[in-house]
Amino acid sequence: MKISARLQRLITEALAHSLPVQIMVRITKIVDPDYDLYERTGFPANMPIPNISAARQITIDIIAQGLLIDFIEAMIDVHENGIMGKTYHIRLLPQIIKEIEALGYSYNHDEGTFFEKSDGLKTMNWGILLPGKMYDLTFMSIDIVNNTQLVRKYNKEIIAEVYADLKEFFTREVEKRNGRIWNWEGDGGLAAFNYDDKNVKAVLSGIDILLDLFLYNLFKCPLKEPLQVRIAVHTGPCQFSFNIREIQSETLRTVSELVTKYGLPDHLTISPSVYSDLGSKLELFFKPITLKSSNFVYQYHVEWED
Amino acid sequence: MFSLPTSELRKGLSQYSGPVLVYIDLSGFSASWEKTLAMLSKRQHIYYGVLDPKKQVKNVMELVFGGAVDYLCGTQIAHELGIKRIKKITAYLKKYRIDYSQTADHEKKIAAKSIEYIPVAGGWQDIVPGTEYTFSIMFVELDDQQEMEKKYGKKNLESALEVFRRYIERNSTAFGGRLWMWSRFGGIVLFPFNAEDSTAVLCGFRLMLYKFMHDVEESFFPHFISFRIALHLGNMKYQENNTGEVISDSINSIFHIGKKFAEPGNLYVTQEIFNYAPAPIKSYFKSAGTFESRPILKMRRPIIET
Repeated sequence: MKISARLQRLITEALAHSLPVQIMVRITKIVDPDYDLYERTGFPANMPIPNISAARQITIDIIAQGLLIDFIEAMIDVHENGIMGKTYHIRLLPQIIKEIEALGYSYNHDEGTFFEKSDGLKTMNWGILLPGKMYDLTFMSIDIVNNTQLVRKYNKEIIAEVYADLKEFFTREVEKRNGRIWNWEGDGGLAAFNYDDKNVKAVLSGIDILLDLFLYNLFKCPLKEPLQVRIAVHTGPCQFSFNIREIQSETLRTVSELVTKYGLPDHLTISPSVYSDLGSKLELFFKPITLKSSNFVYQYHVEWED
Repeated sequence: MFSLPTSELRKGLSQYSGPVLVYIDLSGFSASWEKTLAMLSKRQHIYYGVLDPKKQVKNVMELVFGGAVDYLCGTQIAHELGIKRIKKITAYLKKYRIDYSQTADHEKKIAAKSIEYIPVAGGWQDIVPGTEYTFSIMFVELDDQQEMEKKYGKKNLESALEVFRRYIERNSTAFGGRLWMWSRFGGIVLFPFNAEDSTAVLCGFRLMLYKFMHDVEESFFPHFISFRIALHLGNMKYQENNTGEVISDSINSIFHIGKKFAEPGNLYVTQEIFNYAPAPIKSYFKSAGTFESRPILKMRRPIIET
C-alpha cells in the first residue's frame, strides 16, 4: 500500500492537534502492544516528548509496520467512544478517511472497520492482515464428492465446465459476504471470513452454495448425475501468510478434517464453536451429530416435504 | 354389467375417473346387494342402474331415493336393456345429475381448455396499457396478519412489511415480474407470458426455497415468517394505474385461490400455469384437489431440520 505524503501529514497533524502524547501512545499500543515511544524517539525517559515529535514518530512507525488501517480504525473508535473514560475530538478524520478510501477501501460505520471496496481488487488479507500475525478467522472448506470417479467418467471439457461453474458460485457467495477465497484446486477450495459476524456469514454462504447447487443440478448441470459437495465451517486462530502452504494452523487442519471425515454429500457441517455463534433463527437449521469421541458437530442439508 | 364381490367392484371402478354408469345385477350379489348399492351411492361420479331378474327389490322408490338411476326387473331386462335405453339414461344424467365441475374429466377439460392466450414476446416493453394480454399472475400474502398487528408497534410493523415487499419485488424483477398491486401484507405480481414457459413458477419456487435465508439475513421480523403464494395463467386488460378497478376473471380467481384455498406457508399453482412450468421442478408439485372447478397443485416445501 503506497501512502501519500498528504495522508502522512494529515495523520501527524490530527494526532498532534487533538491528543496528548499519553493518549497517542495508548492508541498505538492498541495495534502494537510493545510500542515504546521513548525508545523510538531517543528522548530520555524523564523528559516530556513534544506533541509534534510524538505524532511524527508514531505516524512513521505505524506506516512502516503496515498497521495504518488498524491504527486509523482505533483513532475513529477513540473519536466516537472515547478512551480511559474521557472523550477526544480528533481533527481531520473525515479527510483521513477520504484519503484511505482513495487507496481502495471503504469505511463501514456499523462495524467500525475498513473494507476493500467491493468493486476493486479483492486480496486474500482484505488489505489489512499482516504475514506472521495471528488472527481469529472463520474458514469454509468445500470438497467435490467422488471427484476421482467424475474425472474418469467424463471428458475434460465437461468436467472443466462443471467445476468452473461451481467455482463461480462458490466465489460469488463467499465474496458477497466479504469472505475471501484462499485456495481453489481441482476438487474443492477454501474460503476465509474476517470481522465480527464471520461465523454467521460463513454459514450463510455455505447454505447458499448448497441451494445454488440444487438449482444448478436441476437446470444446468451437464453430468448425468447431480454434482455433490461436502462443506464444512470452523473458526479459530490462524497465523496469516500469503502462501497458504506455509500456514501451520490447527484451525485449518480441523476444518479439513470436518469436511473429509464427518462431511456428507450435500451437507454443511459446522463445529460447535461456529454453532454457538449463530443466533436463535439460524441454529434451527442444524441438527447435532454425536461423534465417536462424544463430541458434537452440527449438520444442515436441504430436506423436502413428502 | 357387474356381478362381482363388492371389493372387486370397488377396485374395478377405481380405475375410472368418472362419470361412470354401471348396471348392477342383483342376482350375483346374494344378500349383500343393499350394502353394495349403498357403497355406490357414496361414490362421486358413479351412477348405477339396477337389474333385478329375481325381483328381490320390494320398494323400487327406495332404490331411486338411494341414488339408482335406472331399474329393470324380470323379463324387462332382456327386452329393454340396450344402447337406446343407455343413451336415454346418459342424456338424462348429463342434463340433470352430473355435476361436471366435480369430475376429473372436467379437470382435464379445464386444463386443456384453450383460452385464447394473448402472449407478448418482448416482455414489458411491448405491453400497452389498456390492452388485453396473458399474464402469469402471482398472488403473495403474509400469514398471521392479525397476530402481527397485535404484536408489533405500527412503525416496526411497517418497516418489517417494507423489507418483505422488497424481498418479493427484488426476486420477481429478476424473473421479469412487476409488482402490480400491493397492500401492506401482500399483493399481485404480473409476469408477461411468452407462450413458451412461465418464469413465474420458478420465481415462486425460488421464493420458497430461499425463504429461510430471507428470514435470517434480511427479515425484520424476529420470528420465521410464513406466506402463501398462488400462481395462475390468465388474460386481463393491463392497466398501470387504478389497479383496484380492473375487472378480470383471472384476478378474481387468483384472489380466491390465495385467500380462500391456500393454506398458510404454501405455494399453489393452477393446472393452466403448471402446464408451462419448467420441467425440472414439476416433480416438486403434487395435486391439491380442485378449487372453483380448477385443478390445483401444491409445491412440496423445503423444510429445516428441527
